[in-house]
This record gives sequence, structure tokens and C-alpha cells, in this order.
Amino acid sequence: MKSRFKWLATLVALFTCLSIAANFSLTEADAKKDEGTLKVAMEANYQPYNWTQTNNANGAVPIEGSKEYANGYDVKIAKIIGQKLHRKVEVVKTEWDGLLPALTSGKADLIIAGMSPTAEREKAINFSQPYRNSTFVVITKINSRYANAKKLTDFKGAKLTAQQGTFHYDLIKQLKGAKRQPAMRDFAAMRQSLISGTIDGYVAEDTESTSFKMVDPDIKSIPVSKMSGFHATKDESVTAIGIAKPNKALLKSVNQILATIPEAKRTKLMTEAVKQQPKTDNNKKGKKAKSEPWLVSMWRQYGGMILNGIGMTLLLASVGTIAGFFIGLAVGIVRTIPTPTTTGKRWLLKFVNWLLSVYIEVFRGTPMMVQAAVIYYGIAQFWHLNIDRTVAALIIVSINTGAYLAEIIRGGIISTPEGQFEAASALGMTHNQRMWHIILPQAIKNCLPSITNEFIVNIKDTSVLSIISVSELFFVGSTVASQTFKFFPTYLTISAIYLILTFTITRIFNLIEKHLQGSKNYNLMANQVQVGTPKDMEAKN
Amino acid sequence: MTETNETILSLKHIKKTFGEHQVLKDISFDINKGEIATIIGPSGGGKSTTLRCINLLEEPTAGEVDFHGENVLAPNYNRNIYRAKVGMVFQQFDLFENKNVLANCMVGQELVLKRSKDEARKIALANLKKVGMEQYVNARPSQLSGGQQQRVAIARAICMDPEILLFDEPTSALDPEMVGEVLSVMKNLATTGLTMIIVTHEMAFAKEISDQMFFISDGIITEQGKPDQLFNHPQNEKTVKFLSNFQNN
Ligand SMILES: Nc1ncnc2c1ncn2[C@@H]1O[C@H](COP(=O)(O)OP(=O)(O)O)[C@@H](O)[C@H]1O
Ligand SMILES: [Mg+2]
Repeated sequence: MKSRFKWLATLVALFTCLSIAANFSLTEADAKKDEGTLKVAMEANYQPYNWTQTNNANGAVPIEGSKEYANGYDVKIAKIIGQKLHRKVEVVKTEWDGLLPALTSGKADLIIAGMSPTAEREKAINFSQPYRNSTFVVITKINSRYANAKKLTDFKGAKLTAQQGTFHYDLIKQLKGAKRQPAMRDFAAMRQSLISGTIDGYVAEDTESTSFKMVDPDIKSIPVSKMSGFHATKDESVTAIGIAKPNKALLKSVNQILATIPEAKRTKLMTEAVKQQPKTDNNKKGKKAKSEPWLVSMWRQYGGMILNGIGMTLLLASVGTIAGFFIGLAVGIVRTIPTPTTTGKRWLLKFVNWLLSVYIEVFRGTPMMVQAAVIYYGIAQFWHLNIDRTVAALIIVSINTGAYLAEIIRGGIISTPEGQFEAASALGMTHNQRMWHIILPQAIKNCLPSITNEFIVNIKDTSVLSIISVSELFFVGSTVASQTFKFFPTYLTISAIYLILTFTITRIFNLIEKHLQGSKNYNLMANQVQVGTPKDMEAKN
Repeated sequence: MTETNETILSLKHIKKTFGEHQVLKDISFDINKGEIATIIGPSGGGKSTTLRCINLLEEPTAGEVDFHGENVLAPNYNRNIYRAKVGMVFQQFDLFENKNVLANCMVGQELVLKRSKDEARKIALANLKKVGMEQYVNARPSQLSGGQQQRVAIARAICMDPEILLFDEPTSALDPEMVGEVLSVMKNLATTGLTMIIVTHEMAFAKEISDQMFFISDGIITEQGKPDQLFNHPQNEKTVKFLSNFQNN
């Protein structure tokens, strides 16, 4: 179970207060939801509670908006609830920080994600009765100096860590004398660090040690829950199901259903989950898989997922850049309209320009990650509009790119030599004719390197959209890394893919630019009848 | 050279200030149809500003610009149509960088005069031939020499069938060996009856071609008249001093 006190939780609490204050009713959001499916939010990346797999083996359930499946202890509990409610379970795969917003915005009915009912979270959502109690352990190597610790003080000098944002990390303070290391992103990172020796151990719960032992027998877990002086509140040692505040009826039925699952059944489900969770190659000792290079077996298992991720990244980057270009072009053109002569029009233009500069400042001045969270969850919360996450991502990348390109294109227009404007004016062209036929073609050509650059930046920066769980390349990469526990090679492969993408696209755009420059030479029109050269004319005069 | 008595353009008490700086103090003159007028004078005296006030690249601060007797500064006057009738050739050529030679000569005809593509091309080719640039229709401006660019710029201007053609030091940016080719195109053009107002430092050329000359210094016309009068019997000491600089060389 995890307890994070993240700013997003606070933000959600704030949103909720605001929406109540503004007399928005969240039940409206519930009403329009499809009664047929039970949407359950989880990371699908937190073994053995929940994980992602590519097929529906072991009763896995489909993940909304993808070809993948989720399984794990949480999924097994969700299926029992779904069965009793006669609703089909569908998993809404969501980053940890997106879980509460997913619930409060009505994108999910339940959070079953190994989440602890902290007081902080209870401000934003309701929690059911616990569906699991757990004990805490320090996981270390069998041959570690701390492997035989008997009391809390035995960890004196040990370099310990825990998952970022969880209260596990705060528990380290109770192990007097231990050196608390920076918190880590996930278990895969902690396992990697333990094996490589950069830490002596990490605090987690018993299930993590069980699953880790299955892939690496050389680790040991030391239970700390029972050691004297150790204190964890009930909030912290239990895991419960999150339900949106207005949804009292669902809370009641979930509690009724949980009451029917005895402790023995729960233990059995957890044991099953630990056995079924995706394993690394180490586990298949003696099988022929051993001789296969890691990359090949990884690709066999996850190649499809990665290709989809590449596709999504390219889609986001190219649609975002093209749409952003048109937004930027429109904004750039409006911002360079000459001051009109009539007062009314002048004020209107001033106002529009002010709005546009606010747009540009806001979108250039805030991280795209935050924009994504605010737009995706905010729209759902306040307007009860449930937009598809891919559509949301496309919109976000487009308006973000638009803000950058607007300034670039405006700069391109302004830096076109004054003489070009004047020569066009002297021919009697209107402002629009000057813009479309003379200035913009030159400005855009001069901006092309910057536009290419935006495209490259988009390929890389769309990775931050993992915050709204868009399965682009980075999101897929972190799923693969967490599930194979091959951190370094996975991310190395992912960066290689990014590099290939950016490298290829840079070359393609260079070719386009070259083409637009036109050929170096021109052809003399020799077959045209040559009338007098200037010399002849001079002679004639 | 083919001057008539019909006044086509008259400037009446034109003033122009940039901020605090009064660049044109009081400029008035009449140009007759078919007349070749040249403007000479020291650098910074306001010659370019005078031309730019004629085709409204600058808005005069006060005064009147009358074209066929109508004040073009009046609020409802159609300035774009007027500008199409008053061509301008710039010191820096200012050919459209995104277009080749032929397209430079066609774009104004198509957009402003609404001529068909075929007609515009025919006229463009004919005028490029007049300036001796018909072989270069496919070339980009950046691929041409300064003299060639300026000849294309002249062709571009005359494709619009202007009633008046303004030249702002058309040869000042050219290497000396290219000055001749541009001046000869202009002399040729002068024989067609086109009204021309030329700002130039080419004194021999001005003397030969002008029907009327103006000497502008410090924002006022200090002397005006036939070339013979300005060159041989200058009244104003500024004119004398200015001309002596040229004769000494
Ligand atoms: N846009 C402008 N803003 C401010 N001052 C200007 C501008 N254009 C011209 N001037 C000034 O007006 C004066 C006359 O310039 P100009 O007409 O170009 O002279 P000339 O062509 O005779 O050399 C110069 O002092 C010049 O600095
Ligand atoms: Mg000048």
C-alpha cells in the first residue's frame, strides 16, 4: 500500500471544494457514465497489486483504450466486486498522481490501486473498509551487514530508501541511525540499486519481498512491523478502495461485498497474484530462453507495445506540430496586423492581441505536464466532459506548440526586410495580399529550422504526457522497465529509439529545406528571342 | 521630353516630421504628363522622403498630394489603386526574394490589376525583353547581379502600366560598371512618354534627361528649373556648392 502526500492530492481536494462551492454536482458525472462497465483506476504497474500484460491470461481484464490487459491482486478484488454488481470490469490505467483526479472527475468509478486511506486523501474521496492488511519489511541482500537485524537500531548506518511519495519513506525515520537516501521512483529502481550496491536496503511491504525473492533468491526481508518501538497507524498499514464522495450507494455495496471475502480467500488471492506476476528471464533458469539475447526476448514480448508507443509518439508530435503551426500562423498574423484607423477596430485589435499574448505567456510559461493534468482532469471536473485521453493529448500538444510557434512566426514576419513590404505596397497590394504572397512565404521559409526544432522537441517532450497515461513511447518504456526489472537496458533501448526518430526526422526536414531553397543554378532561356541588350539600347540612343 | 501642359501630379506645401525632426518643411511642385523631373541635393536633405510622400509609403504630416487634381490624402481615396498607378524603383531593388524574375513581374498584375495569368505573363515577358532580362525569367533575385536586379525591378514597375514612375537613387547601390546598363534602360523608357520623377546623383544623366530639376536641401526646394539653368546659372549658393563637388571630380 502506498501513501503519498503529493501536491496533486491537495489540488484535487481544492478542486472538489471549489466544485462544491460552485454548486456543481458530481452525481451528474456519475449519471452519464456507462452503467455496464465498472471502471477501476490503477497504475497497472505496481506488482503484485496490479500490472500490465499483453494477453488475458490468468483472468486479466482489458485496459481501457488499449490492446493490453491488467491483472494482480487489485484486479482479482475488482472482479469479485464487478461480479456481485453485475458489471464488467475495465481498468483505467493511470499514473499514481492521476488516480484521485481520475476518480473525482468521473473517469473511473473506483480506485483499487494498493492505496492507503490517509487522512489527506479522505478530504477528497471516500474509502471502503480495508481489503488488505500488510506488514512492513526492510529488503536487503542475504550477505548484507544488516541481514540479521533484530531491532530498529540495528539498521544504524544502513543506506535505506523507499518509494517516492509513499509513507514507507517516512518509516525509515523510525529506524534510528539509518542513512535515509533519496526516495526512488518505483520498485524496479530500488531492486536495481540494491543489486548494484548503491543502497543497503529499502522499506516496502511483505508482498514486495515475496515477489522479489522469486526472481532473486539472494535477498532477505526483515520484518520491522513487530519490532519494539515501531509504529504505523492503521491508515498506513491497510489498503482500501477509493470511491468518489457523492457516490454513497456504491460505497455501501462495495463494503458489503468486501465483508463477504474472508481473510483466507484474500491471502490465497495475493499468493496467486505473486505467482502470476510477470517474471524476468532469471526465473526461467535451465530453459532454452536462457541462450536468447535479452533484446530479442524483450522484443518478442513487448515489441508490439513498443511499436504502438512509437506510433503514438509520432502521431502526437506530427499532429501537434502541424496543428500548432496553423495556430501559430494565425496568431502570428493577427499579432502583426497594422493598427486600424477606426477607434472601435483599434480597441478590438488591442483586446485580441492582449488575449493572444496571455495565451502565449501562459502556455510558454508553464510545464506541458502541468497543462496536461489541469486540462485533462480540469475539463472533466468542471464541465463533465469526458474527452478521450489521446484527443486531450493531441489538443494539449497542439496549443502548446502553437504558443511557441506563434512567437517564432511573428519574429519571422517582423524580420522580413522592410523593403519587401514597401515594394509590395508600391505595387498597390493590400495588407492581406502582401502577407500571403510576399511576406509569409519568406517568413515561413526562414522559420522552417525552428519548426523542425519544435517537431524534434515534441517527439521528446510528449513523454511528459504519461501524466495523463497516454501510451506513448516513454509510457510504454516505463511499463516494460517495471515489468522486466531491466531498467538500464530498457531505457537504453527506448533512448536509442528516440534518437533514431529524431535523427531521421532531422534529415528529412533538412532535405525539405534544401528543396525549398531551390536549385543553385538557373537556366538561361536561350530559346527566347533576344532583343537588344542594354549595350545595344545605349547605342541606339 | 514628350512633355505636355497637363498637370498630372502636384505637391502642395508638403510637410513631414519624424518625431521632433522636421524633415520636409514645405515642398510644392507640379509635374506635367510625360515630364521627366529629377531631384538632386545633399544626402539627408529629404529627397527620398519626398518620393515616399508621393506614393504614400510615408504619410505627409501636412499638405496635399493631388493626382489628376484629386487629393489622394482624402479619407475615402482608394490608395491601393493610386499606388498601382504610381510605380517606384528602389535604391536596394527590393525584388521579392520568394519569387523568380518572371513571378516578380507577374504578381502585381495578377493581384492588383486582376489580369489573367496568361496576360500577365505576356506583358511580363515583353517588359523583361525591354530591359534585356528576358533570358533570366527562371532566376531568383539572389542569383543576379545588382544591375540585373535593378533592371528586373524596372520591368516589374512598368508591367503595372504606371502613369508616373518614381526612382529613388536607382544606381547608388550598384558597382560602377553596372550603372550604365540601368541608366540606358531609363533613358530608353524616357522616350516612351512615361512621366518620371528621379532622385539621382548622376549629374550628366540628369542634365541630359530632365525637363525640370529640383534641388532639395534641408527639406525645402531651394532651386528649380531647366537643367541648363541649374547647371549653368545656379542662383542659390547651396546649389553652387553642391554642384562644385561634382565638377571637381
Ligand atoms: N523613418 C524615419 N524616421 C526618422 N527619421 C527619418 C526617417 N526617414 C528619414 N528620416 C530622416 O529624414 C531626413 C531626410 O532623409 P531622406 O529623405 O532619406 O534624405 P535623402 O534621401 O535626401 O538623403 C534624414 O535626416 C533622415 O535621417
Ligand atoms: Mg535617399
